[in-house]
Amino acid sequence: MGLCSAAVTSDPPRVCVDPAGQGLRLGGAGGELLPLLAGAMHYFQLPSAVWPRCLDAICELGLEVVDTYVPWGVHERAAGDYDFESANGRFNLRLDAFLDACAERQLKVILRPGPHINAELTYFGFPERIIKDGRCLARGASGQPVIMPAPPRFFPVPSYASERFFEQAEHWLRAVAERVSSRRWPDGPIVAAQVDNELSLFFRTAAYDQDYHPDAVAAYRRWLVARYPDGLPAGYGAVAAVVETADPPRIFDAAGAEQLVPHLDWVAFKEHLVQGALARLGAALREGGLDGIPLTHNFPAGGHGESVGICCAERVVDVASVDLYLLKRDYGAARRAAERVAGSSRLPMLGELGWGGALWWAPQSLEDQLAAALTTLMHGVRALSFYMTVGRDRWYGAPIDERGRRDSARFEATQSLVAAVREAELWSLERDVDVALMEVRELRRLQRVTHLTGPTPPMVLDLFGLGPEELCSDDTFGFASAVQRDVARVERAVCDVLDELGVAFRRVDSDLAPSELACYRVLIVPSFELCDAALLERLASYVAGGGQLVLLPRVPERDMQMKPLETPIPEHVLIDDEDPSEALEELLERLGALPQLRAPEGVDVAHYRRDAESAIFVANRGETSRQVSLDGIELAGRWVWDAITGAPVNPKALHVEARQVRMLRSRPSNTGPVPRQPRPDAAKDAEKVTS
Amino acid sequence: MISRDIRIEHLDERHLANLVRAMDPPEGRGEPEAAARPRKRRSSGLFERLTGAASASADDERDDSGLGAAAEQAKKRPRWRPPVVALTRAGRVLRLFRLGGGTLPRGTLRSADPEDLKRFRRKHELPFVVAVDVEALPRLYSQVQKDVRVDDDMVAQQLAMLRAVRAALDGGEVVVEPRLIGALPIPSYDILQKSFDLVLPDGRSALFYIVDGHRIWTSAIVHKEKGDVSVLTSHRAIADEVELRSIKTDAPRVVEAVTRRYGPVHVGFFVTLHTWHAFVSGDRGAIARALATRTAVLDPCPPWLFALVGAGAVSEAASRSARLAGRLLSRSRFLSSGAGKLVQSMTSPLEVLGVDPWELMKWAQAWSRRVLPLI
Repeated sequence: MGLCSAAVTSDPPRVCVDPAGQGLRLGGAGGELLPLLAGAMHYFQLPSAVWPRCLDAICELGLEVVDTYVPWGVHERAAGDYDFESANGRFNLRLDAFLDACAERQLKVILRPGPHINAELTYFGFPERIIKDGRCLARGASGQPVIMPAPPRFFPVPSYASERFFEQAEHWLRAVAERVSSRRWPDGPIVAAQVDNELSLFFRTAAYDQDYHPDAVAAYRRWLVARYPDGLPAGYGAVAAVVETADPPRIFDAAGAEQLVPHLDWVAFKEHLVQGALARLGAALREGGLDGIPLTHNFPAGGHGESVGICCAERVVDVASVDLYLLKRDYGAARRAAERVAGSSRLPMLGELGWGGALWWAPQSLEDQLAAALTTLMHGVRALSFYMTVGRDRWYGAPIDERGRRDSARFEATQSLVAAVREAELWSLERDVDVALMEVRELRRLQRVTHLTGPTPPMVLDLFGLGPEELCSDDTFGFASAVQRDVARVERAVCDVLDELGVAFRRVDSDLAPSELACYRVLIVPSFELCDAALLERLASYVAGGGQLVLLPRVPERDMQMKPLETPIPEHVLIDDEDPSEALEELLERLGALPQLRAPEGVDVAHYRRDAESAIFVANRGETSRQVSLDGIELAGRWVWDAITGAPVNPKALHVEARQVRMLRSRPSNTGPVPRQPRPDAAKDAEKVTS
Repeated sequence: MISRDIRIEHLDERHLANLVRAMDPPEGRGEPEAAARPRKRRSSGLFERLTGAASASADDERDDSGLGAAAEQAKKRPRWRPPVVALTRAGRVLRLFRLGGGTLPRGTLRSADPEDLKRFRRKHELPFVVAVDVEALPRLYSQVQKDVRVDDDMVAQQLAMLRAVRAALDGGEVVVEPRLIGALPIPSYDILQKSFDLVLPDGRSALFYIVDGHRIWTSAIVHKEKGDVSVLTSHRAIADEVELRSIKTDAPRVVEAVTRRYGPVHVGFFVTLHTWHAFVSGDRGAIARALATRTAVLDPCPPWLFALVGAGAVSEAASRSARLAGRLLSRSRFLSSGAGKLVQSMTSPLEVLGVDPWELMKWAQAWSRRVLPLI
């Protein structure tokens, strides 16, 4: 997905995203590859005296990149007046000195100046004046501010449509950018800048929760004018037919398909609003001098509650990553997040991989976090930031504490994981993935508007394992079934079949360009009566390029205005069986897309290769330990060892604990010994090499 | 009560996880004699009235509170199953699902009527069932957002939320079975703050250590300034000065180190895990006996703490032997006082709230058993 948008600026890019999605390229597309294995450290929470110890320890972990927030509310002395020098209060504001300390150690920096940063700071790093300025605040459906219930103070959240808020935020971003622009690579350590943080309207993405700020409503009307130059569709009704006065829906009241249109539009507008906010804040950073380097963003891993798709976001920033804070038991959620980012981002990255935790979350153990890390690497993540690598106020469990001391178990575990990834050069290995499952954005919107739980954030419900099947209404709106619930059923059924067959697949966003879909031989699209005409055109391009399109369970009939589709349906295979397993298996067999290795039920295997090098991940999804044989992978005459411990393993009888993910390495035995000595405690895990 | 600038530092997940689960001892814990004693339910009446937890424990869960005949009854505790949520409209069940995922046929539950919910919960042996009227949710959110003020302390903000939820409970828009917070009297913020000021005066610190063998199982150190907790930390904050290996010998050094680092200590609470589990399993005299054998240390011990852990033991002891009371108090400044008078004076901070701490603990435990598995 080789768009290198940093190159759009007039000067040659200093840094850009690797066209092959392996990391960043220093000096432009042909420059040195910088794999993005980063560690989070917040300079402002630590005295300068401990920085050297912390940064040295980060280097020892094998990390080359530090990511740090730059908190607006902490640096601001008065409106528009920023302090980047003081170090005598609660916070250490010496940003330049910190960047220099990183540069001295050859560490690169991803700078994250917000304006929203969270970082467990009071008011998420916003200046108090912002969250007390009514003109800046998001509004709920009945006009009241929208409260973020985050310790140690609940606060009303800013509106990402408010002109007043943007003016203030842009001033801050330009000031930071001006301050640090001279420290961009190669003159300094900054290789990327992140625009905002988890821009998801503060996780409150329910359709009718927010944002009814007057500026948002005005933007909504402008958006409608642009979308419907010939007037609003019938679904808007006679009262709201005048675009200039159209009021956004505040509750869900659609009874028929046509009446769905304003509701679906409202959610689409909010995605547009988020995308526009990212673009605008990113532009402020560029204008301030942070051009020539990639801009990134990190979304919360929201399941079905995400605020905007990764592809949409990557039209305005270079990399849209996701954050992941999951436990060992959340293998499925971690896998889905990884498959989604691997299928849709130009650099599959975890902007934050929870490494430790905040007091107000469920305690996360080292075991949990290692499992989450390996799960995401197994399913396609190529870059990540350990958040936090250095501890701080309101955080526990980092491998390096706030005094720069190492927590031996965490430090060694992190070091081993990083070493395993680096030695394998995992970012450069490829997995054969022939199949993609499309997540259709328009159907996601339908799920959003038919949620029965009102303003309750879908992302929060997701944490309790609750999705559209549990939470969406049974209304059919004149379709053959309750589409909003069936989408989830179909997706689940397809995933189950593919898992059972051992078929590797990725989840792709329906906004993905046809050229990016071309790498998949089979594209499975949950398909119901309604479909965006533009999506059909993209699917037609995919089919024209030789791809096999599978629609299930129905063929679209109407466009998103609920009019009969004029765009022809591309050539496809329709699977309309209640149980799609047989038909899918037959199809994949006919296409030669079934794998040689069929892992036992409850076990996932992922095999990554480049020339003679390979990495094999084995995940046991079950509740009991298993012996797994990797017979389907050609391993004769090869060393096989555990990439984390360095201990040799027997691939014919690999022991995998319950809910464990193991990362193995393999290399021809005539290329020398296993490169790393097993850790002393690895002996007990060692298994005889028989290959 | 909670500073906006609170520092939370030097925690780790293992000790934190233990702290979260401290109120829920593993099954079968608790001293045998406590288990054998017939359970004598003691209630202020308040929590029984308000939570239904006590009645739920007697009627349905058998050992819901864990505070009675702990060991035996804990063994009978049903396996935890995911709670069920019913989304309703005008009493009609629209959707029925388990927290954690998975729908149930909606015909399984007839209506959101409390009696139906009660039958449903019993039949399926669920920790709790919630019925929510979907029409009420936007109103509930709107009310919360109207009532929560940005300048308020977080506890006041939570109370505002709780009041809105309570109104929804009272109006039948949200039904929780059993009525875990059904009739909960929500105290005013001022009263809570006053109670807190009595529990821990400004400028003082409080320590809470539970030790398992020679290792710290969990710990918490808090410091209070200007009415607010300004620091929350653990033993790791003073690990470079002192490591607690033995309660008997090291507790005073810990108190000194915390005094140097954060300020004078008002509460020092050091117990073994065994004692703690016995205590929270219903053996009210466990800590008092541990004090006598020097396997627990409460020093400094403010009156309210003495009342909390020692009142039962002291009142028994006072009627039998002044000597035991003397031993209990041997390391405290109450040594010379009369036990009965002490108990009278010591309970005042909790009396301000009108809460029996044992009932509060029972309620907290009932909640933690139902809710913790979700986390």
